[in-house]
Order: sequence, then C-alpha cells, then structure tokens
Amino acid sequence: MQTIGLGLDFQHRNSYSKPLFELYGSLINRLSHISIVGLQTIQETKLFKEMTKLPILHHFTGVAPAGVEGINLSIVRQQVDISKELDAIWCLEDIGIWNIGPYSIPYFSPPVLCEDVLRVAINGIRELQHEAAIPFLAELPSCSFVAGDMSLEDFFSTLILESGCGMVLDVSHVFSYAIYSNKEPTAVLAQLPMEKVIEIHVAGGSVHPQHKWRYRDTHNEPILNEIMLILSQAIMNCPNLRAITYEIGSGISLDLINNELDRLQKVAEDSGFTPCLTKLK
Amino acid sequence: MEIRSYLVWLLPGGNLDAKKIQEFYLHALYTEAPISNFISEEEHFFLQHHLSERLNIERAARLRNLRTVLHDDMHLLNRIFSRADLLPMVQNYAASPYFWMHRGRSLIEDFCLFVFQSYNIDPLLKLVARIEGVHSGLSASIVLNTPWPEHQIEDQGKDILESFLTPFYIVWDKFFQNKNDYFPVQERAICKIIRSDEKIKIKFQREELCKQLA
Repeated sequence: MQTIGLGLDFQHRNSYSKPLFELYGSLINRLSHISIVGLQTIQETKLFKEMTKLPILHHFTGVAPAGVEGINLSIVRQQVDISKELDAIWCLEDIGIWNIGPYSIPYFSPPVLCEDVLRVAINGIRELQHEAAIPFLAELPSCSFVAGDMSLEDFFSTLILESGCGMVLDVSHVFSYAIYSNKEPTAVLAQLPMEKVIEIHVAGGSVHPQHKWRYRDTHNEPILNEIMLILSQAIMNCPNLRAITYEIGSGISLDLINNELDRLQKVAEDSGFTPCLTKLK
Repeated sequence: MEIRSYLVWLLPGGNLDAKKIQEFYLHALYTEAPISNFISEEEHFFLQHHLSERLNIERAARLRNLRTVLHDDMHLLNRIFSRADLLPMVQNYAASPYFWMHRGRSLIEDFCLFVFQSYNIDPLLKLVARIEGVHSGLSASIVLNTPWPEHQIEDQGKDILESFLTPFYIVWDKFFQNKNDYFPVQERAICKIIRSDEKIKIKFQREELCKQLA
C-alpha cells in the first residue's frame, strides 16, 4: 500500500526536472494522493483534474486569514470554486502573510505571534469555514524569523481550538521553529494539539551553515535526518492522522524524489501509519 | 535606529491594531529604514519583540530570494543582467518608497517602473525594462489600465494592445547575439505589446511607415 502523497505547485509546472504531467506519470504508482497548490483558474483546474484519478487535497494560496489585511474573501471564493472542480477532500493553507500589497510574496512569512493578530486569524478562519464547502485545515508555518510575544505553540493551539478547524503539521516547519527558538522539537510537538492533526507535511531543506538558527525550507534538497525523526514521533502522536504529503519544489531531481519517497514510505510503515483519504465529516 | 530602539518601553499585546503591527513587521522584512519618524504603540511592540540581528539576516535572505524569483520570471532583462547584477537593483528597489506603492500590475512591472524611472542606465536598457514591465503587466491583468503615463492601451476584441512611441528600436536577434556592442536602430518607432490568447507579442513599427499607412 502507498502511504505517501506528493505536494505539487502548479505554478512550477515547467520548472520541475520534468514537465508536471510527465513527472506525475513517473510517480503515480508510488503515491497515495496528490496535494496541489497554485491553481488560479478553472481552466487550469480542469487540465490538472484530467491528469489524475488519485484523491486530491487542495492547498490554497493567498487566502491568508492571518495576512496584513485579514482574510482575502475574493481569493477565498475563487479557491473554493477550484476545490469544487477538483472534488477535493479538504483544503488547507499555511497560516501567514502571503502578500505585499496586491502581489504574492516570494516566500510567505509567519504572522506576528501576538494576541491581536491571533484574534484576526481566528475570525478569518471562521469566515473561511463559512464560505468553504469542504473542511479547512490550518498549517503550521515555517519560521526562519519570528516576531511577537507568544510562542508558536500557544498561538497555534489557541487558533486551532477556538476556530474549530483541523491542523496540518509540517514537520519541517516544526524543525525550523525549534532551531530558531532553541527548543527540542519534541517539546514543540508536546505543546501542539496533536489530536487535531489530519495531515502531515514534510519537505527537504537545510540549516544555514553560518546561522545555525535559520532553516531554509527549499523543498529541493534531501530531507534532514532530524526531520525524519520528528516525522516518526509525530505519526505516533497524531491519533487522527489521515495523510502524509511530501512537498517538492522547482529544480528537484526525479532521483531525489524517488529516494525520499522510499525513506518516507519506510518511516510511515514502521510507525504503523495507514492513509485514510475519504471526505471528512 | 539606535535612538529609536532606546525609546522602546515594554508594551504588552492584546489591545493593539493587528494590521499596523503586521505592516511594521512586513516592512521590516524587506526595508531597513523605518516607515516614519513617529513611533506608534504598534511599532514599539514590534521593536520590543524581535531579535534585530536576526532580522538583518532574514531581510538579506528575503531580498536575495526576491531577486531570484524576479530574475527567473523575466523574459528579457534576465538575458542582459545576471542574478548577481540584479541584486543591487533589487536592494535599491526594496529600500525605496516605490516598493510599497504597488504601482505595477505585477511585481516585475513594479520593479521595471522603478528601474525605468529611477535608474541612471543606458536608454537601450531602459527601453528593455519598459517592455519587460509591460510584458509582465499585460500577462497578469486584462484590466485596461496601464501604470506607464505615456502608454496607450486598447481593447481590440480578443487582443489587448499597449503601445508607446520610442526614439529608436531594437532588432532582438542582433541585440541578444551581441548585447555589449549592440546599437539600436536610430529611427522613431511605435512599440506594440499585444496580449493575444494569453501569449504576449512584441513588435516595433517604424513611425514613418505608420504615417504612410494612415
């Protein structure tokens, strides 16, 4: 049984080592599901949907319940229409700032971790849940820089519990926050609402050679062994986990993807994980 | 900056304007200079609750990333400027007030407006920046509104045409074959950038020929 899904970015469709459809064709028999981000039109969505019969998870971008301007409802409605066209099982987005004015930010940033921003984010997720026909999961953001007077664990626990949404636990992002804040990853996991985790994300990256507190979430390097350990611990502590998604970035080689799928499949099997890609109630 | 930091007092969160706090934060991620000389409670809060030496490293990394994304998404300027060439231009762009004015239809067009209007470079490179900007702007938006003051934009049914008058024109093949020694054709022309079926075409039409046809 295939236990790992692949996270693709439609905007990178021509910048993987092979064109998106060809890359997918090479990997289809190894995957439990597909997670797709970066779809902007129904035309693109139809094109993508024709490619796959695997279960689809819809990764939003730019909805930004914790963005500077608060949630962007016009993008929410556009993304909700795309979710319907995909017949997606659930939708998700990293909680953070995705825009500079009207433009997409080259790499999103975590929100300021404080009570005032937390309230805006919770209200934003409630508005999103009102619009979306499928469940929305909030993803823990990557943290190469942090500002605010709350810990990420406190911010995210309150966000999840008060908004009532499920959670995507990105174990690479957990690692980024742990090294930034000089905490043990296990201590970070212990403070998060693990029973709310429905999906786990994992991706390759590296620690800056000079600035050891800074994780670079490149998605095109090997997955660090430390992150594999966090993944293993997380799987065993998430009783409602349904999917594990390996996210890849532009320029990554097919050999590396295959190698990482082997490693992830082994960790998932050793941890006793079985995917469950049916619609959530 | 030191005087500003000295003025900071301990301020708890919980009753501040979230939008303002995040505006200061986002601004600081890309631009070193503060938004204004006045320090609001929200800025005090932000200054109190981050590590400034790490912010400098994060900002430098974000500007390199911005440079790479812009360079990768360009069609013309990236054939003239290397990534290394582009970095100081992107740093100056982010340090300028224009970075926060969002004048372009896309981020690349916004950057090209900055290069065209604020940079003292060869007129040939300015023309390439102008065309690059419009290429990106027309790709991103079908609204009949251009941020370039001298440009005409018109709906031609299935196409959108944006045009402007230029004192010289470029023969692209010759230009890209010999970028360092290329001299443009010194004849007035109309540069036409056309969005057609989600593709962008660039043409120069000699002004003399346009007059004859008219």
